[in-house]
Amino acid sequence: MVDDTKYKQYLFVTSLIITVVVFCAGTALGWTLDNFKANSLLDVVKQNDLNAESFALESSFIQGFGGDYCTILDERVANLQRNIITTGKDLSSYGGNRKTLQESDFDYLKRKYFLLEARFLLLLQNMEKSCGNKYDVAVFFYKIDDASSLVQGYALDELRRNHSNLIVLSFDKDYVDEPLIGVLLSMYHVTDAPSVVVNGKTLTGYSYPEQIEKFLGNKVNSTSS
Amino acid sequence: MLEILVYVVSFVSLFLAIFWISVLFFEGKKIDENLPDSNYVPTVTMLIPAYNEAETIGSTLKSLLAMNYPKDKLDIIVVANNCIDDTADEVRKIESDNIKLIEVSFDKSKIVNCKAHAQNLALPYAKGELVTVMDADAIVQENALKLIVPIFQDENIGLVASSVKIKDPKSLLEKLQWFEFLSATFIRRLMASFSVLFMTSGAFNVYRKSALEMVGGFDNTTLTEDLDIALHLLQNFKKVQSNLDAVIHVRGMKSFKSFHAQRVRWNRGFFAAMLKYKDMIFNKRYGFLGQFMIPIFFAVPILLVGAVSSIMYSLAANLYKGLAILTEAGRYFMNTPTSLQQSVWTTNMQMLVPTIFLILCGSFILFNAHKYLKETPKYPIAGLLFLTVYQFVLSAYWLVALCYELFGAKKIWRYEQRW
Repeated sequence: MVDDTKYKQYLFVTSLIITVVVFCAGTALGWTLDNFKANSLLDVVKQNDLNAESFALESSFIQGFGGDYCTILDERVANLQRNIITTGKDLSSYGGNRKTLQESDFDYLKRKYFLLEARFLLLLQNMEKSCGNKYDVAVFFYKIDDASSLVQGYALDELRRNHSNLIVLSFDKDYVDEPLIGVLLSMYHVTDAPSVVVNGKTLTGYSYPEQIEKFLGNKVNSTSS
Repeated sequence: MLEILVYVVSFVSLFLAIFWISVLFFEGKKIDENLPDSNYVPTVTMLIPAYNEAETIGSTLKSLLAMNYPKDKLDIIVVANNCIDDTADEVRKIESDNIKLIEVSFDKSKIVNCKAHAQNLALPYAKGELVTVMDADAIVQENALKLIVPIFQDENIGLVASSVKIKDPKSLLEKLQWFEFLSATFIRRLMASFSVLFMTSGAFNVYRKSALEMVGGFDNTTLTEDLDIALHLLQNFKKVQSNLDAVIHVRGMKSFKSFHAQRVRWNRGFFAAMLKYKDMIFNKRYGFLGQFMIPIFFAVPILLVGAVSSIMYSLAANLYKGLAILTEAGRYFMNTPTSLQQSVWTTNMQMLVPTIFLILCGSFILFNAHKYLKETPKYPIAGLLFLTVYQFVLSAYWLVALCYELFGAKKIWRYEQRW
């Protein structure tokens, strides 16, 4: 039987230190993973940024020197669309599990992502003017932690799988840090979330895929790669 | 808030697990050592309170008579308390001069703990220097008493607990209790090696009679007289010990109803005991027991109540949300693929690492419980459930018990319930 107080204290302190070390290891691993996530997302966003810039320059060149503008545009759009979907999903999984210390990183990434989407939206509009209406565009405004918005997101994912020429761009309706969101809300007369703007038509509240499909104009003419 | 609570509970649980592993590491060689035979052979009274135990009392008495303790030093008292079955007849059937039957009858509606009351009624008839209080369904290993008695050579020992195992578990619930009793017995032994044991099983405890008399016997106003008496003895600076090789087999709770009643009673009794002996908490006079063990054992259920309430609220909210999503967009949701990368990214590593470590520590303790209690590994599924789901169920019972206490549910053992 053990009666020595110092010995008991030694065991107590040793156990406490080991426990703290385990928790610190968990926290360190979590932070490392968070940083890794943030960095890899940042890299993707930067890459997307660069692609969008390169695309804009390419468009100017083709318009200036001549070439098959619409074919090149198609490839670019497909590429950008894929990147936007992947980045959006990664950002949402990162956002669901980030820690307080990475709040600013997340905010920066989110803002960058919305700007990328806005730039893409603008490109699509320019493309429509030059090459005609090849793509269906759904601009989706959601609210965080809102069940209806979540359901709408899944419904739009499903639609996107069935309509390869449908491009979905999602924006957090309440994200006030980026003034551009306010501009989009006002432009599309969006007052509540979820709302989906399909080819310019604003649908407020949860919209069933069947309702959205009515406004898709290029159901058969799927051209994206 | 939920996250903080879960962190705190995980931290304390992990700390306790690591602490017991450290104790095992340093004290491993000593914990299953038995004191050698000596000339110390005191008289022992085996006291068995029985309420409608006709089915089991015969086997229990036979196991006592088969013990290798000198018969002239042993007397057995069965207190048949308000029995309406053949308990008394079953006792009379066993012909032995060592057995004495006391039939008592009292108004049970006025007494919270009838078992403690019956024990107190029989105590004056106990002639032994040591008094063993045991359950009427316990089967005692033949050398159990012989292994325990030498520990009482230390004059300060007031109580020695035995190793309690579940007999022949059949159902999953019984198997889970088998694991629980095994690990609890082992942890109790580790606590005893550190002189901080204050929770014993009431199935087979040996007391020094003078110590029992000093504290005025058992408290029949509490739901857990075994916990109460251990704390009472410790409060009076008596020591509590245990022995791993003195093995007793008891029946597990077969139905969820009886399991539920037992757990609520244990946990309510624990809260009441902590409040009753609150002067021991953080009291330097009680050394490591008062400064560390009792406070941490008191804090854990309170933290668990908070954590379980928050988790349940969160689960209910998410379930509601999940159902709404599935109802509205079930097929889209199911069709949405989730990549491995996303799964990793959404994992809370800060919580996952300590949780994995905690499960590993729990497995290590359970493995050693098997080793020291000479059990071969069995029931793998029940073992896995014991380390995971069952812990949550046990935690939830703290919340249930607290609700019973707060809403003033009457403290009484159900008449139809076994001790």
